[in-house]
Amino acid sequence: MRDYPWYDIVGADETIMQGDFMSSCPVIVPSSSIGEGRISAEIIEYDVIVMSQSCDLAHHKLDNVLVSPIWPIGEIGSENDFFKSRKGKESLRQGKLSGYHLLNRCELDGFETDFQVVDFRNVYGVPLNFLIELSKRNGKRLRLLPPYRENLSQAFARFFMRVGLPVDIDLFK
Amino acid sequence: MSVSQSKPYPQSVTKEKVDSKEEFANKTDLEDSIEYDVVVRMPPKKRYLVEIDVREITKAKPNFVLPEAI
Repeated sequence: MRDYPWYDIVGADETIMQGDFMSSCPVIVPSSSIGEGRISAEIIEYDVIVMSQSCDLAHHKLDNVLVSPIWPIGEIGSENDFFKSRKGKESLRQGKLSGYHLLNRCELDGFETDFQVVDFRNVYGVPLNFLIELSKRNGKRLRLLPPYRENLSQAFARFFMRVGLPVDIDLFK
Repeated sequence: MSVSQSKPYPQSVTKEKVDSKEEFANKTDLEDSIEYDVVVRMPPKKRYLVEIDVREITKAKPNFVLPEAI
């Protein structure tokens, strides 16, 4: 069977695509009241993965890029015991935890990572031009390859299109 | 496999065992299909305050992208 690698390393100048990793992506959180003049704002930084479609990015068909924060599985496990447990990790692997998506380990030189968890619940819109500059500043970056990239996109779609029914059908016994 | 001869059409006496296996399989399927609704609020990697000079506040203008087929 052919090898189907999960990741590749791409140059800083390469066009941004869906599945590209960006480290330390800042997001501005403005104070509650905004008016002209000086205001204070909070900057929060995340390692993120690009969720917007590659064709939209390549043809500059959007102004803001959708990004999802990512976390090494160990870090998310230190916040929540379920992610530490075998059951939790296995549920994550099987795609039973809506809102989260598991990515494989990376063993590429200089980009070694543990399993990583994508958080679909807290997505951000980052200006495309800013993200292009950030990627140039950050240098080479990791890219999730097909079909794992499409699998990520599908998992996000599944999460986003959920419908909660006010009256569900009772469980069959 | 033992077979009951007490009925006109002999039936397998192992049926009960088969049923319990099916029941087990159904239970397993049910457990397999459960989705967990776990929410973890992860703190950002880094957090800091900045001062921003707001020069102008304007209403955003639409930026429509028409599909190529139109």
